[in-house]
Amino acid sequence: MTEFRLTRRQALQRAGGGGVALALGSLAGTGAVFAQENTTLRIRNDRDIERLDPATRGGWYDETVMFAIFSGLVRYAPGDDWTWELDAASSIDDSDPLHIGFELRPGLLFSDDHGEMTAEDVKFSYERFADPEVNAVYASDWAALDHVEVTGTYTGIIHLKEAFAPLFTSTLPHASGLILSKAAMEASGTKSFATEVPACSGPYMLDEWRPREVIRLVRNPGWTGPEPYYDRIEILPIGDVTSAETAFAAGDIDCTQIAVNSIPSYEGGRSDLVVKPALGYAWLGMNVENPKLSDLTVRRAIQHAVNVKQIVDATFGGAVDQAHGLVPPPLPGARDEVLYGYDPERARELLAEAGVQGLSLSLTFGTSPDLLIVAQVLQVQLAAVGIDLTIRQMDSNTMVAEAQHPTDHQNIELIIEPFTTAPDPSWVTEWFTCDQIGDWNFQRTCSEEWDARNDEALTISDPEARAARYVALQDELEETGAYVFLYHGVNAWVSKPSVNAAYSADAQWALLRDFTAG
Amino acid sequence: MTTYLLRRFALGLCVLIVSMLLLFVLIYAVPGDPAAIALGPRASEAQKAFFREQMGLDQPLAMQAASFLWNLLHGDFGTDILSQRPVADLVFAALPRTVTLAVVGVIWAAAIGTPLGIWAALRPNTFIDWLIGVISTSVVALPAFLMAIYALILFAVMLNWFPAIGAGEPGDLLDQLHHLALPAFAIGVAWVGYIARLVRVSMLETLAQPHVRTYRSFGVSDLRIALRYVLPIAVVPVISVLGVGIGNLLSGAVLVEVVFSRPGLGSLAYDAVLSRNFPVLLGAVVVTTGLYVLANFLADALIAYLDPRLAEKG
Repeated sequence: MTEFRLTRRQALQRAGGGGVALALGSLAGTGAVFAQENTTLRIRNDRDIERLDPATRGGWYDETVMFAIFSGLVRYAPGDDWTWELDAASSIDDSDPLHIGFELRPGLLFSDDHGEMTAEDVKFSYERFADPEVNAVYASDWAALDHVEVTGTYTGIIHLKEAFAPLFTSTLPHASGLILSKAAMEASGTKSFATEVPACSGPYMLDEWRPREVIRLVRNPGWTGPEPYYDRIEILPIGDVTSAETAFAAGDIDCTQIAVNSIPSYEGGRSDLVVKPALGYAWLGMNVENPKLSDLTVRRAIQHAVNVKQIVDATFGGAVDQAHGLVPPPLPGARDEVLYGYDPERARELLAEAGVQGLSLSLTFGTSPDLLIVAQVLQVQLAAVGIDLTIRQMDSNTMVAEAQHPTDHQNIELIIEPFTTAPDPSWVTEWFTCDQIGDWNFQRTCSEEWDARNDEALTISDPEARAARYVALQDELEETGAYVFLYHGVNAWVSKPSVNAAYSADAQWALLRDFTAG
Repeated sequence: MTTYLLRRFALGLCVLIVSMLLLFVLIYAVPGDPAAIALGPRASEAQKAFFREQMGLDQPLAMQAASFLWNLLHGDFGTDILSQRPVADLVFAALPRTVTLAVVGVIWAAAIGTPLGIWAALRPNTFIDWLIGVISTSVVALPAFLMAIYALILFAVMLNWFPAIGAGEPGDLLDQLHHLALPAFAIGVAWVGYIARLVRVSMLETLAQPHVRTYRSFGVSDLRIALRYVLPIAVVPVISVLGVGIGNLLSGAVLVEVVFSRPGLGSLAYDAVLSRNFPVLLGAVVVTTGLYVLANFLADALIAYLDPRLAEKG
């Protein structure tokens, strides 16, 4: 039997979560009693694969698979730091920020008899991001690329038009840096692909995909890099995290991500629990084009009325720290403190100064049960300074559609829509530009000067100067009064003791090729 | 009876066409841009426009509806906007799993519920009748997903008798049955009570008929009367309700399939709603509606066979 512990909040959240409410966090882990087949790993992916093409990929659920079946010149190293290590490349010369030299390991074979990986494949893989027919969603990752020069069978130089700081943080080690087979792509007759991968270049290859059921990877016989431990990996797309925890508890899977509020249930248990700070950011946004929030004094009052620490503690019970900005630690540009912190007295003064009485606002957010708690605490805090808050919880896509609508965006007053990001601060700030109004800038704050300095930050090579720039950019956003920074979150995973799991520094991705037996 | 069945068939077709058109309009009225959701936040406006053009989403709604129906008539359900696979492949891969789940759920519910109803009707106002009534009413109120959760905790997590997720390996019937047991239990348990209550009421009504008294006066045993002469009549309303109930079972399958991560039509539609994958959603809903219409037609046909008087009345 297993120890069963369930907090009242967990029970309420799970019950409110829509049916898959289940008190299984506390059961899970200790039930993993099945004998572990050391050659097969069964792991949960929170969504099924959609598009495995590096240029048009969907999200982390695709990237988890892509990092196993493709290799790049370099890759994210497993562990707690955002560092990269050589992958398909045997050497990289990054001494010149505009001309990056590389040399491939000889003998790396693509799957399905598509030959050896050469510098031509690297050139093809990176230059195709600019091809309009590829329709690369991630074209901005290679926006600074001029061309890739092939200097030998295995050697080449990546020529950039200008210095591009994210090259080694969120382009080359990320999925945009993965290498495709030029021959296989040309043979397929298509410019891009979804799930029918022309050829694999990583330690694993796709053996079988049964949509919404299982993605089965087997060893790529042409891979001559470091040998992965598992012969076979079965990736099970399980959307509901509670169902995944149940499956783990029942011994059906070896490893799964778990809900943040399930962390206490696994602490001290027999399963291996890994909790890492996430590259996410959640903030309370204020629509400055809404008449109720057009006055900076009112927005500033709201900033002072919010006790972020209380919200975060109430929501996550100490598992998550409060945020001081948008850029999550440990990325350069993460801030240590906010400019306008909790000060309810000052909030009341500012509201009086603005001549506002009986202010009534709405807070719109998606279906996350965590956000419902955030909203309820906010309701109490704002009531304390005389602001009546109405909660509007709705399907996230419906909310985004309303916030992006040319006229309906007026319905948005306060809003929370957490984002996740890649390990570069440029990915965080890109949503707050004037161009993003009508898309993802729900606050509708706009400064051409801010945008220009945000663009310029991409080219700053000096790490300290770049970090300082991003701190300043966040300071300016906070000065607009439209932002209250809430939290960055954590990613938590559990695995059977018989499995040695490996994750990226934020545990957003399970690095499948690095898993071994425990 | 042939006229009756033809009329029912035509009615079913009308229901199918009208519901498809209604669904089409309703689905496209749901807020959320499929292009933006499919391509993600980093897609440019040009990329989204290109995507809409590729998927025909830039056409007027009436044109899209006409095109959808025309393609459907030719067996083309459209293309999944995420994986670019034919929707028909996805839908018809999921269909057998959901049908199996619903049918097995109904069969086991009927297999338990019908004898319970008969037993209660043969012992009216006794402790047995009362006990069956209490149990039946209690389980009727239980949502399928709740049963799914408790079944999971008990039989998958604590006892490890059944797997918690999946549908089993294709080609391995035993494995598939092993994976089917808990979802079928969850989806059918409420129907046990419902069927037991229906059979009891229907049996009691039929038992009160004059011809039953005649059988009794000839010394025919109660059990023989119940099974031979009463049940075939009493079961007619049950079959009728089951026909409609298939619709409920299919909708109940959504949550059960989500809880068990079982790749059926319900979870396919659920995922498609969340991702605004309208072609897949339409395909799943059209097939589900078709199943619903078919189940009703089969129920009508069975009723007509069991009680030809109803067919004559039309």
